[in-house]
Amino acid sequence: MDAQLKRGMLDAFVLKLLTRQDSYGYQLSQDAARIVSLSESALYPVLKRLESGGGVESYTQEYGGRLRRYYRITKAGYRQIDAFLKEWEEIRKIYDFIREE
Amino acid sequence: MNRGEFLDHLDAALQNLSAKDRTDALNFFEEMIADKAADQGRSEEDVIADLGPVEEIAKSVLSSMPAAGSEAQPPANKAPARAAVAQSIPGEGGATGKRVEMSADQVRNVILRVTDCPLIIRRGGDTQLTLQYTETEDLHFECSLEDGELRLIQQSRVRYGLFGWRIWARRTDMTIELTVPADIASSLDAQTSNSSVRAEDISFWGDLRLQNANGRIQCKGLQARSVELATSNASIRAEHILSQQGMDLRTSNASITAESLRAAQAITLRTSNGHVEARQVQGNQISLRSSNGALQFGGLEAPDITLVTSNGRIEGGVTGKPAEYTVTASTVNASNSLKNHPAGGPRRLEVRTLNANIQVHFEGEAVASSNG
Repeated sequence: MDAQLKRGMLDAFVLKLLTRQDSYGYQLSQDAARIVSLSESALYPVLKRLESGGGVESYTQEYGGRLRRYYRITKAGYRQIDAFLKEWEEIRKIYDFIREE
Repeated sequence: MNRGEFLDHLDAALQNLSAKDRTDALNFFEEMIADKAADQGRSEEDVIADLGPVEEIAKSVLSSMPAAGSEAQPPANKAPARAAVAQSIPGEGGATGKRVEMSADQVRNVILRVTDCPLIIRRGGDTQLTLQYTETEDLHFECSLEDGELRLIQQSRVRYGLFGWRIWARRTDMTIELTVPADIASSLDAQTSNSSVRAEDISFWGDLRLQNANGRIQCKGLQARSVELATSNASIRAEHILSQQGMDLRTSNASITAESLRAAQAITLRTSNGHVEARQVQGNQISLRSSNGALQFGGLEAPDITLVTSNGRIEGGVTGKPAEYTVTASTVNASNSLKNHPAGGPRRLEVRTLNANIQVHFEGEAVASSNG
Protein backbone atom coordinates (compact mmCIF):
# COMPACT_ATOMS: atom_id res chain seq x y z
CA MET A 1 0.00 0.00 0.00
CA ASP A 2 1.09 3.56 -0.59
CA ALA A 3 3.28 4.50 2.37
CA GLN A 4 1.70 7.91 2.82
CA LEU A 5 -1.79 6.43 2.92
CA LYS A 6 -0.74 3.75 5.35
CA ARG A 7 0.89 6.27 7.66
CA GLY A 8 -2.25 8.37 7.79
CA MET A 9 -4.30 5.31 8.60
CA LEU A 10 -2.03 4.08 11.37
CA ASP A 11 -1.90 7.55 12.89
CA ALA A 12 -5.68 7.80 12.99
CA PHE A 13 -5.91 4.25 14.30
CA VAL A 14 -3.59 4.87 17.25
CA LEU A 15 -5.31 8.19 17.97
CA LYS A 16 -8.63 6.36 18.12
CA LEU A 17 -7.18 3.83 20.59
CA LEU A 18 -6.19 6.76 22.79
CA THR A 19 -9.68 8.25 22.83
CA ARG A 20 -10.71 5.52 25.26
CA GLN A 21 -8.04 6.29 27.83
CA ASP A 22 -4.44 7.36 28.16
CA SER A 23 -2.24 4.42 27.43
CA TYR A 24 1.37 3.25 27.28
CA GLY A 25 3.53 1.40 24.78
CA TYR A 26 2.81 -2.18 25.69
CA GLN A 27 -0.88 -1.63 26.33
CA LEU A 28 -1.24 0.14 22.99
CA SER A 29 0.55 -2.64 21.16
CA GLN A 30 -1.80 -5.17 22.78
CA ASP A 31 -4.90 -3.14 21.92
CA ALA A 32 -3.68 -2.63 18.38
CA ALA A 33 -2.95 -6.31 17.94
CA ARG A 34 -6.63 -7.12 18.34
CA ILE A 35 -7.35 -5.29 15.11
CA VAL A 36 -4.25 -5.13 12.95
CA SER A 37 -0.82 -6.66 12.99
CA LEU A 38 1.31 -3.75 14.10
CA SER A 39 4.64 -4.74 15.57
CA GLU A 40 6.08 -2.97 18.58
CA SER A 41 8.79 -1.46 16.45
CA ALA A 42 6.22 -0.17 13.96
CA LEU A 43 4.24 1.41 16.78
CA TYR A 44 7.15 3.58 17.84
CA PRO A 45 7.35 5.77 14.72
CA VAL A 46 3.59 6.27 14.84
CA LEU A 47 3.70 7.58 18.40
CA LYS A 48 6.77 9.66 17.69
CA ARG A 49 5.08 11.21 14.67
CA LEU A 50 1.86 11.90 16.54
CA GLU A 51 3.74 13.48 19.40
CA SER A 52 5.82 15.79 17.25
CA GLY A 53 2.68 16.69 15.31
CA GLY A 54 0.89 17.67 18.50
CA GLY A 55 -1.91 15.09 18.20
CA VAL A 56 -0.59 13.25 21.23
CA GLU A 57 1.12 14.31 24.42
CA SER A 58 3.05 12.10 26.74
CA TYR A 59 3.87 12.08 30.41
CA THR A 60 5.65 9.65 32.66
CA GLN A 61 4.22 7.99 35.67
CA GLU A 62 5.81 5.61 38.09
CA TYR A 63 4.69 2.04 37.87
CA GLY A 64 6.16 -0.74 39.99
CA GLY A 65 9.33 1.16 40.75
CA ARG A 66 10.03 2.25 37.20
CA LEU A 67 8.76 4.92 34.90
CA ARG A 68 6.19 4.39 32.26
CA ARG A 69 5.47 6.81 29.46
CA TYR A 70 1.76 7.41 28.97
CA TYR A 71 0.28 8.92 25.84
CA ARG A 72 -2.71 11.18 25.81
CA ILE A 73 -4.71 12.43 22.83
CA THR A 74 -5.01 16.21 22.48
CA LYS A 75 -7.71 18.33 20.92
CA ALA A 76 -5.53 18.53 17.82
CA GLY A 77 -5.52 14.73 17.85
CA TYR A 78 -9.30 14.64 17.80
CA ARG A 79 -9.25 17.07 14.91
CA GLN A 80 -6.81 14.80 13.14
CA ILE A 81 -9.25 11.89 13.45
CA ASP A 82 -12.00 14.03 11.98
CA ALA A 83 -9.75 15.11 9.14
CA PHE A 84 -8.87 11.50 8.45
CA LEU A 85 -12.53 10.47 8.32
CA LYS A 86 -13.27 13.29 5.91
CA GLU A 87 -10.35 12.43 3.71
CA TRP A 88 -11.38 8.83 3.75
CA GLU A 89 -14.72 9.76 2.23
CA GLU A 90 -12.82 10.93 -0.84
CA ILE A 91 -10.82 7.75 -1.02
CA ARG A 92 -13.99 5.76 -0.63
CA LYS A 93 -15.56 7.50 -3.59
CA ILE A 94 -12.55 6.70 -5.72
CA TYR A 95 -12.58 3.11 -4.50
CA ASP A 96 -16.25 2.73 -5.35
CA PHE A 97 -15.64 4.26 -8.76
CA ILE A 98 -12.81 1.86 -9.52
CA ARG A 99 -14.81 -1.17 -8.42
CA GLU A 100 -17.82 -0.28 -10.51
CA GLU A 101 -16.03 -0.24 -13.82
CA MET B 1 20.11 -11.61 24.14
CA ASN B 2 19.39 -10.06 27.50
CA ARG B 3 18.03 -6.56 28.02
CA GLY B 4 21.40 -4.89 28.52
CA GLU B 5 22.79 -6.43 25.34
CA PHE B 6 19.70 -5.53 23.36
CA LEU B 7 19.73 -1.89 24.46
CA ASP B 8 23.45 -1.76 23.80
CA HIS B 9 22.94 -3.02 20.26
CA LEU B 10 20.07 -0.69 19.58
CA ASP B 11 22.02 2.23 20.99
CA ALA B 12 24.89 1.46 18.63
CA ALA B 13 22.52 1.16 15.67
CA LEU B 14 21.04 4.57 16.44
CA GLN B 15 24.35 6.40 16.68
CA ASN B 16 23.29 8.90 14.05
CA LEU B 17 20.48 10.25 16.16
CA SER B 18 20.71 12.98 18.75
CA ALA B 19 21.14 11.82 22.33
CA LYS B 20 17.56 12.81 23.11
CA ASP B 21 15.98 10.90 20.22
CA ARG B 22 18.14 7.89 20.96
CA THR B 23 17.21 7.88 24.61
CA ASP B 24 13.52 8.24 23.79
CA ALA B 25 13.71 5.16 21.60
CA LEU B 26 15.73 3.13 24.10
CA ASN B 27 13.31 4.02 26.87
CA PHE B 28 10.36 3.01 24.74
CA PHE B 29 11.73 -0.45 24.00
CA GLU B 30 13.06 -0.96 27.49
CA GLU B 31 9.63 -0.20 28.90
CA MET B 32 7.95 -2.40 26.29
CA ILE B 33 10.17 -5.36 27.17
CA ALA B 34 9.63 -4.98 30.92
CA ASP B 35 5.86 -4.61 30.56
CA LYS B 36 5.48 -7.46 28.12
CA ALA B 37 7.63 -9.84 30.14
CA ALA B 38 5.77 -8.99 33.34
CA ASP B 39 2.32 -9.20 31.76
CA GLN B 40 2.86 -12.43 29.88
CA GLY B 41 5.01 -14.07 32.54
CA ARG B 42 7.83 -14.66 30.09
CA SER B 43 11.55 -14.07 30.31
CA GLU B 44 12.98 -10.86 28.94
CA GLU B 45 15.20 -12.83 26.56
CA ASP B 46 12.12 -14.47 25.13
CA VAL B 47 10.31 -11.18 24.69
CA ILE B 48 13.37 -9.60 23.09
CA ALA B 49 13.56 -12.44 20.56
CA ASP B 50 9.95 -11.54 19.67
CA LEU B 51 10.92 -8.02 18.73
CA GLY B 52 12.95 -9.18 15.76
CA PRO B 53 16.38 -8.13 14.56
CA VAL B 54 17.82 -4.97 16.09
CA GLU B 55 18.65 -3.64 12.61
CA GLU B 56 14.97 -3.75 11.64
CA ILE B 57 13.96 -1.94 14.81
CA ALA B 58 16.62 0.69 14.20
CA LYS B 59 15.35 1.16 10.65
CA SER B 60 11.85 1.64 11.94
CA VAL B 61 13.00 4.17 14.54
CA LEU B 62 15.03 6.08 11.97
CA SER B 63 12.02 6.22 9.66
CA SER B 64 10.22 8.33 12.26
CA MET B 65 12.89 11.01 12.26
CA PRO B 66 12.42 13.99 9.95
CA ALA B 67 15.89 13.74 8.45
CA ALA B 68 16.80 10.12 8.94
CA GLY B 69 20.47 9.34 8.96
CA SER B 70 21.55 12.93 8.86
CA GLU B 71 24.22 14.45 11.03
CA ALA B 72 23.74 13.96 14.71
CA GLN B 73 22.54 17.31 15.89
CA PRO B 74 20.40 18.62 18.65
CA PRO B 75 16.96 19.33 17.21
CA ALA B 76 17.60 22.95 16.34
CA ASN B 77 14.32 23.32 14.40
CA LYS B 78 13.64 26.94 13.73
CA ALA B 79 14.87 29.46 16.20
CA PRO B 80 12.06 30.95 18.26
CA ALA B 81 11.08 34.12 16.46
CA ARG B 82 11.69 36.29 19.43
CA ALA B 83 12.85 35.11 22.78
CA ALA B 84 10.83 36.99 25.32
CA VAL B 85 13.15 39.14 27.34
CA ALA B 86 13.43 37.80 30.84
CA GLN B 87 14.75 39.93 33.60
CA SER B 88 17.01 38.01 35.93
CA ILE B 89 16.88 38.29 39.67
CA PRO B 90 19.72 36.39 41.34
CA GLY B 91 18.54 34.21 44.18
CA GLU B 92 20.12 31.94 46.74
CA GLY B 93 21.80 28.62 46.04
CA GLY B 94 22.53 29.23 42.37
CA ALA B 95 18.86 29.84 41.59
CA THR B 96 17.93 32.71 39.33
CA GLY B 97 14.48 34.26 39.44
CA LYS B 98 13.19 35.18 36.00
CA ARG B 99 10.51 37.68 35.28
CA VAL B 100 8.90 38.25 31.90
CA GLU B 101 6.55 41.16 31.59
CA MET B 102 4.50 42.42 28.68
CA SER B 103 1.30 44.15 27.81
CA ALA B 104 -1.50 41.59 28.00
CA ASP B 105 -2.99 43.02 24.80
CA GLN B 106 -0.37 41.43 22.64
CA VAL B 107 -1.01 37.92 23.94
CA ARG B 108 -3.67 35.70 22.40
CA ASN B 109 -2.47 32.40 23.74
CA VAL B 110 -0.30 31.29 26.64
CA ILE B 111 1.29 27.86 26.60
CA LEU B 112 3.10 26.45 29.64
CA ARG B 113 4.79 23.07 29.41
CA VAL B 114 6.65 22.12 32.55
CA THR B 115 7.11 19.16 34.88
CA ASP B 116 7.37 18.99 38.66
CA CYS B 117 6.72 22.71 39.01
CA PRO B 118 3.70 24.09 40.89
CA LEU B 119 1.66 26.51 38.81
CA ILE B 120 -0.12 29.54 40.15
CA ILE B 121 -2.33 31.57 37.87
CA ARG B 122 -3.83 34.71 39.29
CA ARG B 123 -5.09 38.17 38.56
CA GLY B 124 -2.83 41.17 38.74
CA GLY B 125 -2.91 44.67 37.31
CA ASP B 126 -5.21 45.90 34.56
CA THR B 127 -2.86 45.69 31.61
CA GLN B 128 0.26 43.70 32.36
CA LEU B 129 0.93 40.02 31.96
CA THR B 130 3.76 38.73 34.12
CA LEU B 131 5.38 35.35 34.10
CA GLN B 132 7.74 34.49 36.93
CA TYR B 133 9.84 31.38 37.19
CA THR B 134 13.11 30.22 38.62
CA GLU B 135 16.02 28.63 36.86
CA THR B 136 18.64 26.52 38.55
CA GLU B 137 21.55 24.48 37.39
CA ASP B 138 19.21 21.60 36.58
CA LEU B 139 16.19 23.52 35.48
CA HIS B 140 15.96 25.63 32.36
CA PHE B 141 13.12 27.10 30.38
CA GLU B 142 12.70 28.46 26.94
CA CYS B 143 10.43 31.44 26.86
CA SER B 144 9.26 32.95 23.60
CA LEU B 145 6.62 35.23 22.18
CA GLU B 146 5.61 34.71 18.59
CA ASP B 147 2.45 35.81 16.77
CA GLY B 148 0.70 36.55 20.03
CA GLU B 149 1.64 33.20 21.51
CA LEU B 150 3.62 33.24 24.73
CA ARG B 151 5.32 29.94 25.40
CA LEU B 152 7.24 28.72 28.40
CA ILE B 153 8.75 25.33 27.70
CA GLN B 154 10.84 23.50 30.21
CA GLN B 155 14.00 22.02 28.83
CA SER B 156 14.70 18.45 29.85
CA ARG B 157 15.54 18.13 33.50
CA VAL B 158 16.60 14.57 32.98
CA ARG B 159 20.13 13.80 32.02
CA TYR B 160 21.18 10.58 30.47
CA GLY B 161 24.12 8.41 31.34
CA LEU B 162 25.58 5.35 29.70
CA PHE B 163 23.03 3.16 27.84
CA GLY B 164 20.43 5.81 28.33
CA TRP B 165 19.91 5.19 32.03
CA ARG B 166 18.13 8.18 33.41
CA ILE B 167 19.82 10.42 35.88
CA TRP B 168 17.16 12.51 37.52
CA ALA B 169 18.02 16.02 38.32
CA ARG B 170 17.42 17.03 41.89
CA ARG B 171 13.79 17.94 42.33
CA THR B 172 13.50 21.59 42.97
CA ASP B 173 9.77 22.38 42.94
CA MET B 174 10.19 25.89 41.68
CA THR B 175 6.86 27.63 41.45
CA ILE B 176 5.81 29.21 38.19
CA GLU B 177 3.52 32.15 38.54
CA LEU B 178 1.44 33.71 35.80
CA THR B 179 -0.23 36.99 36.64
CA VAL B 180 -2.76 38.43 34.20
CA PRO B 181 -5.47 41.11 34.14
CA ALA B 182 -8.84 40.05 35.53
CA ASP B 183 -10.17 40.04 32.01
CA ILE B 184 -7.81 38.79 29.33
CA ALA B 185 -8.38 38.20 25.62
CA SER B 186 -6.23 35.10 25.64
CA SER B 187 -6.39 31.35 25.92
CA LEU B 188 -4.31 29.46 28.47
CA ASP B 189 -3.00 25.97 27.99
CA ALA B 190 -0.87 24.94 30.95
CA GLN B 191 0.63 21.59 31.74
CA THR B 192 2.71 20.40 34.66
CA SER B 193 3.07 17.19 36.62
CA ASN B 194 3.68 15.88 40.13
CA SER B 195 2.81 19.25 41.50
CA SER B 196 -0.11 21.52 42.23
CA VAL B 197 -2.06 23.84 39.95
CA ARG B 198 -4.04 26.80 41.23
CA ALA B 199 -5.99 29.39 39.29
CA GLU B 200 -8.22 32.14 40.64
CA ASP B 201 -10.39 35.09 39.62
CA ILE B 202 -9.71 35.45 35.92
CA SER B 203 -11.91 35.71 32.90
CA PHE B 204 -10.33 34.33 29.72
CA TRP B 205 -11.86 35.14 26.38
CA GLY B 206 -10.25 32.05 24.95
CA ASP B 207 -10.06 28.46 26.08
CA LEU B 208 -8.72 27.38 29.44
CA ARG B 209 -6.93 24.12 29.79
CA LEU B 210 -5.05 23.10 32.93
CA GLN B 211 -3.35 19.76 33.07
CA ASN B 212 -1.42 18.02 35.77
CA ALA B 213 -0.51 14.45 36.61
CA ASN B 214 -0.17 13.14 40.15
CA GLY B 215 -1.04 16.54 41.51
CA ARG B 216 -4.04 18.61 42.55
CA ILE B 217 -5.90 21.21 40.58
CA GLN B 218 -7.74 23.98 42.40
CA CYS B 219 -9.77 26.59 40.56
CA LYS B 220 -12.01 29.36 41.72
CA GLY B 221 -13.80 32.24 40.03
CA LEU B 222 -12.83 31.47 36.45
CA GLN B 223 -14.50 32.13 33.17
CA ALA B 224 -13.42 30.94 29.72
CA ARG B 225 -14.74 29.90 26.35
CA SER B 226 -14.18 26.25 27.19
CA VAL B 227 -12.76 24.76 30.37
CA GLU B 228 -10.73 21.60 30.67
CA LEU B 229 -9.16 20.50 33.97
CA ALA B 230 -7.37 17.18 33.88
CA THR B 231 -5.07 15.37 36.26
CA SER B 232 -4.53 11.89 37.64
CA ASN B 233 -4.11 10.39 41.09
CA ALA B 234 -5.05 13.68 42.71
CA SER B 235 -8.14 15.68 43.45
CA ILE B 236 -9.80 18.48 41.54
CA ARG B 237 -11.63 21.30 43.27
CA ALA B 238 -13.56 23.80 41.19
CA GLU B 239 -15.74 26.65 42.41
CA HIS B 240 -17.59 29.30 40.48
CA ILE B 241 -16.53 28.38 36.98
CA LEU B 242 -18.29 29.65 33.89
CA SER B 243 -17.90 28.47 30.33
CA GLN B 244 -19.46 29.64 27.09
CA GLN B 245 -18.98 26.16 25.73
CA GLY B 246 -18.31 22.92 27.58
CA MET B 247 -16.56 21.96 30.79
CA ASP B 248 -14.54 18.83 31.29
CA LEU B 249 -13.07 17.89 34.68
CA ARG B 250 -11.33 14.58 34.97
CA THR B 251 -8.95 12.70 37.22
CA SER B 252 -8.43 9.19 38.52
CA ASN B 253 -8.03 7.61 41.94
CA ALA B 254 -9.14 10.81 43.62
CA SER B 255 -12.14 12.97 44.25
CA ILE B 256 -13.71 15.85 42.35
CA THR B 257 -15.43 18.60 44.31
CA ALA B 258 -17.33 21.22 42.40
CA GLU B 259 -19.59 24.06 43.33
CA SER B 260 -21.37 26.51 41.10
CA LEU B 261 -20.43 25.46 37.59
CA ARG B 262 -22.22 26.85 34.58
CA ALA B 263 -21.70 26.02 30.93
CA ALA B 264 -23.69 26.50 27.76
CA GLN B 265 -22.83 23.00 26.66
CA ALA B 266 -21.94 19.74 28.38
CA ILE B 267 -20.40 19.54 31.84
CA THR B 268 -18.55 16.33 32.60
CA LEU B 269 -17.00 15.37 35.94
CA ARG B 270 -15.25 12.06 35.74
CA THR B 271 -12.98 10.08 38.04
CA SER B 272 -12.41 6.54 39.18
CA ASN B 273 -11.90 5.17 42.68
CA GLY B 274 -12.92 8.49 44.10
CA HIS B 275 -16.10 10.37 44.86
CA VAL B 276 -17.67 13.20 42.97
CA GLU B 277 -19.38 16.00 44.80
CA ALA B 278 -21.21 18.63 42.78
CA ARG B 279 -23.47 21.46 43.92
CA GLN B 280 -25.27 24.04 41.79
CA VAL B 281 -24.25 22.79 38.40
CA GLN B 282 -26.02 24.08 35.35
CA GLY B 283 -25.43 23.07 31.75
CA ASN B 284 -26.97 21.72 28.61
CA GLN B 285 -25.90 18.30 29.73
CA ILE B 286 -24.43 17.08 33.02
CA SER B 287 -22.53 13.91 33.50
CA LEU B 288 -21.05 12.74 36.81
CA ARG B 289 -19.09 9.54 36.54
CA SER B 290 -16.94 7.44 38.80
CA SER B 291 -16.28 3.88 39.71
CA ASN B 292 -15.85 2.65 43.27
CA GLY B 293 -16.84 6.08 44.46
CA ALA B 294 -19.99 7.87 45.56
CA LEU B 295 -21.75 10.65 43.69
CA GLN B 296 -23.18 13.38 45.90
CA PHE B 297 -24.88 16.40 44.50
CA GLY B 298 -27.47 19.12 44.77
CA GLY B 299 -28.98 21.63 42.40
CA LEU B 300 -28.14 19.81 39.20
CA GLU B 301 -29.91 21.55 36.38
CA ALA B 302 -29.80 20.27 32.80
CA PRO B 303 -32.11 18.79 30.19
CA ASP B 304 -29.91 15.72 30.24
CA ILE B 305 -28.34 14.31 33.42
CA THR B 306 -26.25 11.17 33.65
CA LEU B 307 -25.05 9.83 37.02
CA VAL B 308 -23.06 6.64 36.76
CA THR B 309 -20.77 4.86 39.20
CA SER B 310 -20.29 1.44 40.70
CA ASN B 311 -19.83 0.36 44.30
CA GLY B 312 -20.68 3.85 45.38
CA ARG B 313 -23.94 5.44 46.39
CA ILE B 314 -25.71 8.07 44.34
CA GLU B 315 -27.25 10.64 46.56
CA GLY B 316 -28.61 14.12 46.09
CA GLY B 317 -31.08 16.37 44.34
CA VAL B 318 -31.85 17.50 40.83
CA THR B 319 -33.93 20.57 40.05
CA GLY B 320 -37.54 20.35 38.92
CA LYS B 321 -40.36 17.92 39.49
CA PRO B 322 -40.49 14.17 38.79
CA ALA B 323 -42.99 14.66 35.98
CA GLU B 324 -40.44 16.69 34.01
CA TYR B 325 -38.12 13.71 33.70
CA THR B 326 -37.79 10.53 31.75
CA VAL B 327 -35.97 8.36 34.27
CA THR B 328 -33.80 5.28 33.96
CA ALA B 329 -32.43 4.17 37.30
CA SER B 330 -30.80 0.95 38.33
CA THR B 331 -28.70 -0.55 41.07
CA VAL B 332 -28.02 -4.09 42.18
CA ASN B 333 -27.99 -5.45 45.72
CA ALA B 334 -29.19 -2.15 47.15
CA SER B 335 -32.13 0.17 47.44
CA ASN B 336 -33.34 2.61 44.82
CA SER B 337 -35.48 5.64 45.59
CA LEU B 338 -36.20 6.35 41.92
CA LYS B 339 -38.81 4.71 39.79
CA ASN B 340 -38.17 4.19 36.11
CA HIS B 341 -40.26 6.49 33.94
CA PRO B 342 -39.48 5.34 30.44
CA ALA B 343 -41.97 7.78 28.93
CA GLY B 344 -41.83 10.69 31.32
CA GLY B 345 -41.11 14.36 30.69
CA PRO B 346 -38.67 16.00 28.27
CA ARG B 347 -35.71 15.96 30.64
CA ARG B 348 -33.59 12.87 30.74
CA LEU B 349 -32.20 11.39 33.95
CA GLU B 350 -30.05 8.31 33.91
CA VAL B 351 -28.83 6.88 37.21
CA ARG B 352 -26.79 3.71 37.51
CA THR B 353 -24.68 2.07 40.18
CA LEU B 354 -23.99 -1.35 41.61
CA ASN B 355 -23.97 -2.62 45.20
CA ALA B 356 -24.94 0.78 46.56
CA ASN B 357 -28.05 2.81 47.20
CA ILE B 358 -29.66 5.35 44.94
CA GLN B 359 -31.26 8.21 46.82
CA VAL B 360 -32.22 10.95 44.43
CA HIS B 361 -34.86 13.58 45.10
CA PHE B 362 -36.45 16.28 43.02
CA GLU B 363 -35.85 19.68 44.50
CA GLY B 364 -38.92 21.21 42.85
CA GLU B 365 -40.92 18.89 45.02
CA ALA B 366 -39.19 19.58 48.32
CA VAL B 367 -42.31 20.97 50.02
CA ALA B 368 -44.53 18.12 48.97
CA SER B 369 -42.13 15.46 50.18
CA SER B 370 -41.68 17.09 53.58
CA ASN B 371 -45.45 16.88 54.00
CA GLY B 372 -45.50 13.23 53.11
